[in-house]
Amino acid sequence: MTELSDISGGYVCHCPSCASGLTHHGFDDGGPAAASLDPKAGGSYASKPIWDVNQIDANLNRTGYNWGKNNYGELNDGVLNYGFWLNKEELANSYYVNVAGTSALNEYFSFSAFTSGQVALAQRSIQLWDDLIAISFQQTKSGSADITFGNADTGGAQAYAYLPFGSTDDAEILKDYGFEDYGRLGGDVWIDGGVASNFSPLTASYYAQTTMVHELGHAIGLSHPGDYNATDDDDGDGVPDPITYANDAFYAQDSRQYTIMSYFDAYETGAQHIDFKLLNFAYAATPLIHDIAAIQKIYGADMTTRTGDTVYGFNATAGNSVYDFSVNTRPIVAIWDAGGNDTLDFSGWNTPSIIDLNQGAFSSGGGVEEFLTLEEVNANRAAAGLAARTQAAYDYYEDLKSQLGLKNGLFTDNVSIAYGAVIENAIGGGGNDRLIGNEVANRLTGNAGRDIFEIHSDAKSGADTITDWTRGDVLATTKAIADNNGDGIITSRTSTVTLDASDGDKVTLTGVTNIALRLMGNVDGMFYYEDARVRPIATGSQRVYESSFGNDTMAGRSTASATDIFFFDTANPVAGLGTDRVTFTKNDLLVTTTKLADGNGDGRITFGANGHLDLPGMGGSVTMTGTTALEFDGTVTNNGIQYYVYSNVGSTVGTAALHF
Amino acid sequence: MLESALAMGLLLAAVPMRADAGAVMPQGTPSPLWRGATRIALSCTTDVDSSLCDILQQQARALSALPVDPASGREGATVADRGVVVLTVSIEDIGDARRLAAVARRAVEIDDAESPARHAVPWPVTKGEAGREAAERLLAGILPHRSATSRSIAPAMSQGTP
Repeated sequence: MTELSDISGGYVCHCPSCASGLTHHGFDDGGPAAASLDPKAGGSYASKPIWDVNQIDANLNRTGYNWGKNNYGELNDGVLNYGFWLNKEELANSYYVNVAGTSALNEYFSFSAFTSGQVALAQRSIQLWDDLIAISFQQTKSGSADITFGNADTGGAQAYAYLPFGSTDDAEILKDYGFEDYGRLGGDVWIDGGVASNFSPLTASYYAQTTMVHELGHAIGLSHPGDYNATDDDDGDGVPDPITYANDAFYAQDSRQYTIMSYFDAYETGAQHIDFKLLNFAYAATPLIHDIAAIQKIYGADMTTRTGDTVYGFNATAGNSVYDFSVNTRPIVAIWDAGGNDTLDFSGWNTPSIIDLNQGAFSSGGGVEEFLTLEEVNANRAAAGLAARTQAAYDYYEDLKSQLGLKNGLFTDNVSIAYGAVIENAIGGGGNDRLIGNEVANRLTGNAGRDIFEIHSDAKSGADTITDWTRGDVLATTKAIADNNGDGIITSRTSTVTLDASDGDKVTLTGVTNIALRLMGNVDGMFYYEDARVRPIATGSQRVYESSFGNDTMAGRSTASATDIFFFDTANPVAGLGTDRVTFTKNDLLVTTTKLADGNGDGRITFGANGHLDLPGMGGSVTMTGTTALEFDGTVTNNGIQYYVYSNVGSTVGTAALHF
Repeated sequence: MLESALAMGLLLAAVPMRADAGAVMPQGTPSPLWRGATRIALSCTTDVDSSLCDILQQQARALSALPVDPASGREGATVADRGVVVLTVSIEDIGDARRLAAVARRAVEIDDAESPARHAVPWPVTKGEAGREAAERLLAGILPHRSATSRSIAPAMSQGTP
């Protein structure tokens, strides 16, 4: 990468991947972008090493500070106390003032107490950490608290907190400076009382909450992923140093996609967390997957959290509004769950979603498919109680979209599952979704749209169920399904297809008998099968030829009187249909599942040079010989799939010749 | 003891620094308000007289490595102003007390996390040197600067200077 700088500050990434308009950086070895970098540990990304989770755990706790070590025995009972400084007098009677009462630490001078809203936010944020680890938190008065909260001038930072550095140097500091129990400073959280965004909005996905959760991470022992700090001024010019991913991240996953302790936006690692409905950034509302792994390494995992059958997302039963996507409508969250038969439910979104049930994996949901005008954005902002965006701000985002190569405003990689958490079921929404199973038995429900059900059958995938298989859905497997006669069609007289006989992996399509799946092709190591009923069938002397993902040559028959039907499932949700060649004769039909481009609306489709025809939908192209133009005959709908029928201009063969 | 020290009008704030003080430096969250800022446009409201405003300009230039210019009033008109932070200084009356207040806001705000910062200091009835010192305290409190723990001396709370 030649140069990378802070996009939100107005700079741009000049790496080759971004220059080509991708939102995800490719791997340095040229491999395709993946939602999580973690499986590629040992490789590199953006010229930085990809670390494994053990390395990351060790890094986030590289100081070794925690409440179980040299901290006045505060954690001997398994409980950490937290409290709120209510007034300056409380500070005056604490370790913030020296024994002689003649000097005080900086925070004393600019102190103000938390508002009730801030108190509630702090309590919610404490609960988020409490749910993860095998210690408990209890609120007390400030004088007996391990972790305290207050507002003060933080010198250019949004907030800061002290790591639990402990009592080791107490005696020396008392002798040299007269401050007693100086180690009790550890765990104290200070929010800048002069910065408006620390006071409103105080809801999930806004900066105040992410700040509070971040600072609590420090208070219980986590460091930034890199050796940077908001008020560092290494060049001594009086202004906090610019801190950039390119210069200051020393491993690839140092971003707010993976850890709330990072300074770097999620787009640095290819995630999209910009809210184009409101033109602002959505921020993490919970500790993220690397934070969870690191903090559980220190204190142990809380195995009592949500052990029942829990629903996260829409129709949530998690008991915390951060996991209710009807409340937290632009969720950047990681899920920890200690047991039960659980579900990740994206049913409230009508945009395309990806739900990946694997531990440590990212799912994508929410956002907008079409960008909004400034007027539309400001109407949304007014409804949310936010000030209007100016034209200049709108123009900034236009530039940013261009720099990031964004084609839509959909969130990506915004919902993740913690390592060690098992979520069994997934429910999609109204879009063309991709649901990815894990190693246990999964129930996958696609809902509306042409959904892809992805099962990693090359490993153990278990006995999965697709509850609502419809024509138009696609089954994706990482191991080819046995095809004894090699015709590309997989059949089963029952509702169940065996995916891998060696370990019993199978999938049941509820309500479907006499299954027939057609192999569309292999894309990036994944085998895609669509319902073989999604195609016209040949009757009489007809023949049907189907395009797949590869480059197909469909010659058809030379007999002018015969009707050959060339079928292109252009609406398939997976991939383009390659570069095909078709020989077309008098009575033949070309059938697609999306309409061919007809610029002048005259119902006639003409080809480019050399008979070239671009296919709509997921793409691909056809070189047509034997004809110079087609006419649109109409559509036929069969079992929810709409077929567009084209024939030679003036042909007497049309939609009536199509059978299912 | 602390109150008597205050009554003496002199109070020192000292942060104990250990040899490995970096280990106990507080760990911060960055403030988006100042991220990517390239210059400061300073303006004073009409209740701030021009001589005080000039002092603020001079002091801001001394304290800040970002260029400081008088605000034109047109900052934020185009995306080219993205790097500008507008600093507005005013005098406010709160009950019987007067305060010198500064608000820093991004000329082109693109995220709600960039919402304004505010700082205020007591504004002495008699000005002169005390006014200059108040202005310096104000700017030190609003402009981003070195780690708070490196500030070793609190402003002297003098009784007033003619």
